[in-house]
Amino acid sequence: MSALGLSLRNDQATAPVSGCAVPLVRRMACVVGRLAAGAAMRVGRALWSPECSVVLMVAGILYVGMLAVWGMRSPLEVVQNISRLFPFKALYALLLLNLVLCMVPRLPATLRRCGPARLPRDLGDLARYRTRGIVREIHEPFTLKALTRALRRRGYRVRLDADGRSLAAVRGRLAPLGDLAFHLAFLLILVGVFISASTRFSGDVVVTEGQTFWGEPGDYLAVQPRGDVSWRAPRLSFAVEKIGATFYQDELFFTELYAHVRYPADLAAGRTTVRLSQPLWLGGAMVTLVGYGFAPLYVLRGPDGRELDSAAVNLNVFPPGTEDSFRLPGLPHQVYVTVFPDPVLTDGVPRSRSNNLRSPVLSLRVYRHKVRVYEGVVPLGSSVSFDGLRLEFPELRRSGQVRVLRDPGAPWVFAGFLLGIGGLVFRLLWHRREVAGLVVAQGGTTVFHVGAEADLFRHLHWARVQRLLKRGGKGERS
Amino acid sequence: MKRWGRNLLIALSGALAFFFLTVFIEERQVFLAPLVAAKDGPAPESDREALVEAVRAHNQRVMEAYARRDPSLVRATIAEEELAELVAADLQFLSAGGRTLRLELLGLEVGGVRRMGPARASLTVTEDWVHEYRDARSGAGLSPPQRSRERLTYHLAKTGGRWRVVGASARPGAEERRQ
Repeated sequence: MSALGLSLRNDQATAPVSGCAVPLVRRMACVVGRLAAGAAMRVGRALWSPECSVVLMVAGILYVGMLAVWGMRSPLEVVQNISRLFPFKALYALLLLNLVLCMVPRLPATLRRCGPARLPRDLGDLARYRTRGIVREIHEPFTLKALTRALRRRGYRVRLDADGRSLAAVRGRLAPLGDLAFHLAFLLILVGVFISASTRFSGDVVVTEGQTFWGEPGDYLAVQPRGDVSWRAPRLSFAVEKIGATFYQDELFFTELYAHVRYPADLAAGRTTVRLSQPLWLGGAMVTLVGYGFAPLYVLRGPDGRELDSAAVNLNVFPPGTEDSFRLPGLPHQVYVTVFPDPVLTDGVPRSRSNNLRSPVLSLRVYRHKVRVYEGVVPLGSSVSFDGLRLEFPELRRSGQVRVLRDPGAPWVFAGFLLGIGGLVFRLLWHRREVAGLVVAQGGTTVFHVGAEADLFRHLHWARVQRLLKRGGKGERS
Repeated sequence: MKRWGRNLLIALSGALAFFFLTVFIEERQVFLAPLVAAKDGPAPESDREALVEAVRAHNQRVMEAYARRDPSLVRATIAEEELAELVAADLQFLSAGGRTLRLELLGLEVGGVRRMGPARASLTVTEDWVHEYRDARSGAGLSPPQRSRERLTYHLAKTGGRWRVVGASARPGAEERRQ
């Protein structure tokens, strides 16, 4: 310590310019450090208390409320970014810690409460029951044995002592486990949220009829979360055989949207139909059909008629009238396409009567950078020529937007919800009810002291016990 | 009860302060996003002029690039390399056919301008062009000059304090829709 002190004094002596500032900064750092340590200790101590749970819960509600307000002004993506920031992670971590720290010390007491009811040995033992009464005179047919039978008929586990003086009955003995399950559910949900946050993957891919998707991360159009999350992409593959859609009265309301798929693509071990409400579980991921569109198949030929290129292009041309474009590979030509699946000409302008494919036509505009080299409406199967090239559209395939979602945290969250609901139901419906009685001789007469306790609806329980007692004796509440 | 309420209030105030402080330190842009998002929409007049000027400069460079057959000339006015590659591909295509292209911008009518945050904007214009194909060797005209009127939407980005063209998409013009 003295060496440190000497060293400090030397520092002050050899630093004439900042000689005054350095100790001040150190003192301030010391004060801040002490305050931080004190705050950390307080937080550490508070984390053991159930009151902290309330504060954290209210803080959570506050944070979510702020997100909701933010969401009114900002795009969803911004709100999602905020929800992934440190305060939220800290809140979840503190909630998890608080939950564990509150649960662990209370675990032995909770498990003890699952034990059988204790036989009262004297009136002092009955004092712990919050509702108590006295049956002043015991006469036939009321006996402890009759009460035992009545309680057993009502589902109580009854214990009688050997000389028939005291009785203890319990129903819903394991109800405290419901509490435990309910709190464990929070733990599972929080663990699930952490797993989801670190491993969840969602990607959209557009596939056409006859196309195979090999699950390559680069083939996804959009992925969540953004960035390099290719390691999160599930290993799966499937081939789309057919995509179909039916519409309500030819309007843009799907009554059915489906895709017949074969999986995995190389083995074709299984065949199924994927719908929005009927996902396919593949490679630990959920595969759902969420969108519909058209993919024109084009063939590009050179001046000599030789095929230069052919492909089915996934375009955003649904609903009919939507224009999208694609570039011819290796060429400066951009082809703008509008699909009219069920065409009708109104004042020379094509429109679509419905969304169903009935003799479709394509409205085309082809640009070579600044120069428009073709414009016109062509029926499917015909070709157009420009700049010495010939572009044919022999086929219009249906395409579907497929969402691949892999969320390893979801089963944890789901299990957490199930456990929580189960625990709550168990706790409410089979709550613990106790009845204890003791026969005491008082002034030459036999008096039966009875006590009752229930986790919930205590007075209702006592009323029931009283009704039971009245059948055999005169009960009164004290 | 009073003490408990006070503690709750202090804890919640701390949580709020912690939230805003951390969000501000970690993601200043996210924190300011609502303010930035509020600026989405029609651009102010000063921006409008700068955007139009950027498109005019880009078109000028395109004309020069075709005249000198040098796609690198457009690089000064673009934000992404793709546009320069497009010009290069077009020049190569024309060269393979033994042709050159003369482009001339006759007029530019400005339509809507839209800001998308502080550094992104789109500008819709109607351009009148004349293009003429010429023989690459002799320079003789291969076809009479042709006029065209195009409605285009330019997407621009502000980099290094200047607006530059990211890309352009052709839109069906009003006159074409009527036909």
